[in-house]
Amino acid sequence: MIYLADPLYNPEFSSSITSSTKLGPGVTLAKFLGSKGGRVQLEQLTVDKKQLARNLYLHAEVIKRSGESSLLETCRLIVSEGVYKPFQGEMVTPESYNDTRQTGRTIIYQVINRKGETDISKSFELAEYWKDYLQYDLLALDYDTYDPSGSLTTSIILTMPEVPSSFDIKFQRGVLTSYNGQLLSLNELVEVEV
Amino acid sequence: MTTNLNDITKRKTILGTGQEESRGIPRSGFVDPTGEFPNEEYYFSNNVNKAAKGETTNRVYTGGGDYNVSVEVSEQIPSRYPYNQVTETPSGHSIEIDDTPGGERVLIKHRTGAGIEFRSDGSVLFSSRNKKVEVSGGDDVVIVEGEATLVYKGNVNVKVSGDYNLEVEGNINVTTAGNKVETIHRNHKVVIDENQNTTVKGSRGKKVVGVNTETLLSDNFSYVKGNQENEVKGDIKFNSGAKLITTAVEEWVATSKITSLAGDTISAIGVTGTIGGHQVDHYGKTFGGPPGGAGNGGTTHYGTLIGKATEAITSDYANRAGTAKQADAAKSAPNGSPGSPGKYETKMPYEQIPQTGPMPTTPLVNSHISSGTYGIVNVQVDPEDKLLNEIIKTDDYDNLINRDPTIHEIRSKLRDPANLNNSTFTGNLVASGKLNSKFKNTPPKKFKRISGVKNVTKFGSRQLGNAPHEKRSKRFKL
Repeated sequence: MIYLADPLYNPEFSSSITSSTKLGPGVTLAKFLGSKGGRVQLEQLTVDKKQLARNLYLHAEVIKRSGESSLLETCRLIVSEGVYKPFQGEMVTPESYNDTRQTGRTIIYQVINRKGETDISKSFELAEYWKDYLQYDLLALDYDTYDPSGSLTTSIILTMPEVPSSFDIKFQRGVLTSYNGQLLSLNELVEVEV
Repeated sequence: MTTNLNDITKRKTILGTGQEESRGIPRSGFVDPTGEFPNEEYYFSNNVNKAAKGETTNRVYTGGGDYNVSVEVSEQIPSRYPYNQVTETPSGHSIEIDDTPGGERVLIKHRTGAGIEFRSDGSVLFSSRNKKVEVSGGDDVVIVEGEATLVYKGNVNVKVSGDYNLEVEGNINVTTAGNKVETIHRNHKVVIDENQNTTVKGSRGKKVVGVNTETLLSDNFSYVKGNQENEVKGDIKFNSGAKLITTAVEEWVATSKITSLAGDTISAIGVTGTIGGHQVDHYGKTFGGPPGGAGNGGTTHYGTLIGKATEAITSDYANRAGTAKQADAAKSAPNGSPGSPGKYETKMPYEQIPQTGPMPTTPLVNSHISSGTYGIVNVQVDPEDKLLNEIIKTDDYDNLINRDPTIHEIRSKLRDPANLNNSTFTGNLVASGKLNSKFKNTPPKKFKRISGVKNVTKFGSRQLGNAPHEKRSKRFKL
């Protein structure tokens, strides 16, 4: 399908791609670069910047659509792990999340409540909303207990297809739930508790 | 539009029944002719605004916080009728002036959720759903008695036309994941009342076009694990107020077209080597070496010797002694002419001149090189790379990161299954208390909601077709 990009924010019409390039209303490319889990600078990235911006455009659309939803009236959607740059010499597993993060195909989000904590319940609801109403290649609801306190953290991993300059895109719409990096359930979203 | 039913029959004739009844006041007289009110939520109920009765609470939008950033304010008790004066427009804008005892507040809210709210405890919530522009024609003063947190998800640009003065009573902590670039068009002055410590994990460069002056009022230590090169096109002066000691484990070379060494006391010793040259004059009190003569390992002098060696002097005296004896014999001879026996004395004029120090034999030289104040210093700089590893940490984290990672960075790294299964990486993270030791063995206790790939039917909380006032054009009456 040909994805109709908003000409105001279509990176194809930008003469140059910088961290200030707007990809949506109130969403600049910097939003995907300065996350807590993956801080990178645009000039450090060796990938095609236009390609990166096109891939991230779809994520900006997700943020815009989510902002219009009543699900986020008491929560905030943040980019917790944005574009990834491997450490010098690090071998990234092909087609892993970190691999597709390098080109902006995968972005990892968290839903933060008013206390500044990840909201497990709202994360599930938002993931379900995305599952039903958005286009994507892969949607993963991810839980982990990596925090030394053992507390549960929820993330929503969203992988988009590679966006060509024609914006002719095919979405796979895969869904899964993972727990501590392991597959918990395929083709369904599961809300868990520890 | 009419305000009463006068001439209605005539107008119906002219305009038609449907148009007249849809534009004018219907005969019932209690229905909004525009069709906007009552809203669906007020069907079959009292039309006093629900916010006035405390059945709903209008809030400005705040969303959630950011990670570890709370936007919580005190809870607001529901409004009580008739204390809350509510003005709400069809599209959803509202102004509330609430005198509910214990819940006094003022709210001005745009239908999008943007607005300003004054809570009962004095808190003020300000919300913008889109761009926010703040313009001050004069001065601007901000006083915050508590703490402040600013979270910007994009770039921040601060432009100051005048001076930028920053006074901080506590610490300033700046962390950047990227570069820090400072461009100063004039001078840069830093005054540090106590200590300064800089750690550079990569290279460090410094360019100075003008004069570089460093004044140190205490000791200066410099440790270099690799090589050090100083290349100066002009003069170099090393002046010490006390001792200047240089040692090298392998070789110490000083080469120049003119080389001078001078001192009240000067020593140059070695086991083997060469001192002097074709046109070099040697001056000294004594010249010594091992005895034994040429070919026997002793000291040998080549060339012309002007003066007399001790043996030659001794030989001379020996000869003169013989001559003296002959003279004595001639003197005592009956017919001989008398000689001059008193002219040559048999006492040797040569006196043993003591050497200042012992001869620098091999054991003495080796002892001097290897020990004592002037012995060669065996240089050791971080021999087992402990300091290096402590700084760069790449060994600790299996070359995946060069600093202590945050939990967010750890989570990011573990998105790659290779890193997740890297026991060195995860083991060190667990050992340093940065990763939950039981993360692989903590199954979920409970499963709650499950949602399959099939779309879930949802009932919208908002009406399709936008806000009520926008339905005006879509409302028909026949």
